[in-house]
Amino acid sequence: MSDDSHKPVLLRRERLVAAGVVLIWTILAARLVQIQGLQRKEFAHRARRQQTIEQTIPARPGDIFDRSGRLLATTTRAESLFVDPSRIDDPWGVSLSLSEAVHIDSDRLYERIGASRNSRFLWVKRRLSRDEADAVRRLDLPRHCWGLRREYLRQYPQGTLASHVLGLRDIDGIGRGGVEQAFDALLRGRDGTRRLVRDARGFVLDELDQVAQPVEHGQDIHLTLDAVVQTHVEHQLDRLMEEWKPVAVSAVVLDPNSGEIVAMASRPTFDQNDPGAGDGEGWVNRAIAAVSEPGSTFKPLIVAWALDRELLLRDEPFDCEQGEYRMGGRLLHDHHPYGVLSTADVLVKSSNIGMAKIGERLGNERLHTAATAFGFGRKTGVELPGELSGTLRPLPLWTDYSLGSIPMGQELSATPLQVVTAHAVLANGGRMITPHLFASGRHPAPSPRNVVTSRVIGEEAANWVVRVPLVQVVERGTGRKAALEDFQVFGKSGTAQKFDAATGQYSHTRHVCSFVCGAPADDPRLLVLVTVDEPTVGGPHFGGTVAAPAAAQILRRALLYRENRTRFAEDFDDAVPAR
Amino acid sequence: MQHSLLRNSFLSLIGVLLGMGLLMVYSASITARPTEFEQVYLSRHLTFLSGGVCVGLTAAFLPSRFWRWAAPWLFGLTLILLAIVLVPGIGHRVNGAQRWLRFGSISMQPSEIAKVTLPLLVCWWLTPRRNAPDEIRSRFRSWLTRFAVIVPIGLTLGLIVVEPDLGTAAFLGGIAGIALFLSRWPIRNFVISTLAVAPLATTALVLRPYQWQRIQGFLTAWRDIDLAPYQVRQSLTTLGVGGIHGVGLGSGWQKLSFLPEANTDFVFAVLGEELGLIGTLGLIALWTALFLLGLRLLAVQPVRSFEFTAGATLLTQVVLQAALNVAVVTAMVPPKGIAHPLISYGGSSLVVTLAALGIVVSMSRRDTAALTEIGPPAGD
Repeated sequence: MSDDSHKPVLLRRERLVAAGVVLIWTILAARLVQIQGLQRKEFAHRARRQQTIEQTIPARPGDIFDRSGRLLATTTRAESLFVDPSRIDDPWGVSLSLSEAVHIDSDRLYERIGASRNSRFLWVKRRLSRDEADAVRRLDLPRHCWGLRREYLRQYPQGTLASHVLGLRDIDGIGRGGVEQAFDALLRGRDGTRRLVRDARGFVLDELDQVAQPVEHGQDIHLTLDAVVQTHVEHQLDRLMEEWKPVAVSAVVLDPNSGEIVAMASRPTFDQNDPGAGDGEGWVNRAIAAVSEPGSTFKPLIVAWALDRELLLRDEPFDCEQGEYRMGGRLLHDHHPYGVLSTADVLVKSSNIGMAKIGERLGNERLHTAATAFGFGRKTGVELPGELSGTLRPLPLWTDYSLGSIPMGQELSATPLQVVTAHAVLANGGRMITPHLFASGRHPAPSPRNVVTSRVIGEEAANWVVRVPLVQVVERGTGRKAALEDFQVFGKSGTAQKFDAATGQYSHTRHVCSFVCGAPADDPRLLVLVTVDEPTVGGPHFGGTVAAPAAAQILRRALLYRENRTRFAEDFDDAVPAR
Repeated sequence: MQHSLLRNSFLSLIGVLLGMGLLMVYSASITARPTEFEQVYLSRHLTFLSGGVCVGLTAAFLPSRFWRWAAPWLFGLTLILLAIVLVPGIGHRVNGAQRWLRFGSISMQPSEIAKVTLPLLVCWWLTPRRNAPDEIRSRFRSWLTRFAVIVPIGLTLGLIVVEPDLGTAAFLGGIAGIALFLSRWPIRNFVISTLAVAPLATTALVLRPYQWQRIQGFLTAWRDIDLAPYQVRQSLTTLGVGGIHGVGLGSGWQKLSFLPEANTDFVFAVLGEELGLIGTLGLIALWTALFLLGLRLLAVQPVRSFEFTAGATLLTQVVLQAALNVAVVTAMVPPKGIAHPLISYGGSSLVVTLAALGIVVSMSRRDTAALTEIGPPAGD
């Protein structure tokens, strides 16, 4: 036998091979320690990322109800069409047939598909009608290149009713304007997420509940609005638009004792269910976002404040100078020449000269204090976006002119809501209450806005102004057209000349006619303010002629309806003008 | 006594590896949606396993002198199969490479068989026959004869390169090199052949730019894993998910769809995810133990004998193939489709591996016939 067989078994070359193999395994073991020990978190994260997908569970926006639980806004489901551009083999054919089915422009769709060839997702049209969705299904396109996804669709079952108050939800479900925006946080809720386990081909294998964020659906909210009163208000505004062809009209119905807004409307308007239509003019809620000088509707506020501060007596005589009164370098006129008028008659006749004399007695500082006390120059705090504060110039800018202008409602401007809120102070016995839309007490959550109540004037002065001069305005003054058989109405007209920026003077032809009224006088339950901006036909254009009849009609229907629903409903039918 | 204990341990290790393979093939074949794939794969794997065990046992019971006698014939047969696979219409083409022969439902790669027959041939060529007269022994020592062994090696590798299957050719080249090395091939011959092959390999890289791209891609993957080929990314991720303890047998997610070839070439990654670092290092320990025990087992043979060199080469071949698979899965070498011996699902690979290990056992047996000099087996 060879000598080799007796040598120690593993010789140099064998040892080398064995050492080599063991070395290789050692290196691999070290590599495994690196991957599975040191870098394991990084890879685990990578795996989690590719194995799970997060899917949003959209929150359903809450419903909006009126004060009696009538549905004003709700949410249904609709299907939205998307395509996977990377998988469309025939973009032109697909664009053509899809655009026909959902009524969109085929060239535009073709361009959009072409522009996102590398992406996996493209909305074609969202929230299809049922017919459109069926039409898309009937096309029978290749299944992998398109899909329908269910989305929430905001709907306003009352049509355009209270559109300015409600606002709308945009295509992504975000509240735009009105209550939809103001209470967006409450209404929208919070989207949940679901984590799904998927495989490499994108098939969903499992749902991981333990890590999902639960969806919080939006809360329902109840408004102080009354849909029936609102309907009536809107009919009246439509009639005013037809009769006087004004630029715009608005109306507010307010419960003076609680500050609840029962109705609020503005013309021109828009359709929440079809927000694309219209010229954009209709988007402004003129009740809170159109300012004008309040004019004579401001007068009772000053009188009430002066009476309360005992700067004025109820039966005090004012010489109204037969309609012409020189105040410094300024000549004031009354509409009719009057001799001596009592404090009450200054309001009943709406004498500018009488008011100017009251202004002279108070002085600028007190006038400013009074205007501020009634909420002029600052927002009312209603829960609506876009509210304007009007203008109340700072006292140092006031001049001798102001002594005559301010008491008759010039040199300051306000929104209709500010005016009606100020009048609510008179109607409720002297308290300023934040006007609001959110019906507190109906929600489990506390009211999101604080309703502030503060005393402005004493009850005595407020009640007297309402029950004596303002009642007489309707009985024998400028507001006779607002008289009602069933109720004792109090009110005040306002006719403001619009300031003409071109000439730098007050216009003699362009007016803002307003009328604020309430009833019953001994216990006012509702206040109505109707503002007609620039009536263009008919005449004469006074608050008492243009706005008063509509305001009184609104007041009557609303009060009747509140007293007895059934009687109102019958009455309501024949009261609705044919449109 | 000592020897039979060694052999029993060696066989037990093979059994443990086969058991692990069985588990992993079953687990890695589970699909995302409920199907019967895992049962189908398991039963097929069991079929191959029983076939492989029969082949392996037969190989182990055959005396080593049979293998010595059969080495050239088996090699010749392999060459014929390697040639046949290239004939259009007979060889089966998968992904542009003609590597497969199909017999009914069974398919096999002739290059797999070459992993056994080429080392046998090299050792047969270079080791002196026992009991041979001195002049014959000296003939075997003549330089030219010894150098001529590169002709059959070159022929085999050439046929495999043409398929093309560069990875397997390179692996076989390495195994042949180990066989040459253990057969005391002179170092200067290695130097000469390396010098001869180097320009060839360079030309191949230039002529087949896609190979070069693969290597470049591999190098970029080291810098940024996001640039790595999909399967490398997935196999590393799969291993990493397992961490130290693993997610539990059968509970792996990656195999469900993200990891390609989960039950064949990347079964090691599945094992890594489900059994963790403990499982992967355990498997490495098993292979190392198998390797060292096998060498001890073969140590009863004279170091320069056919039995020792052939047995050691085949053993190294199997263990290195496992190491190469792990290296691919851990992105230590460029991606190459290679099964993990005994662990991967795979018909012909499993049978060939068991045959190779069977031959190792056969080689480790003291050939009583030879020792008592009853005579050479027929044909030798």
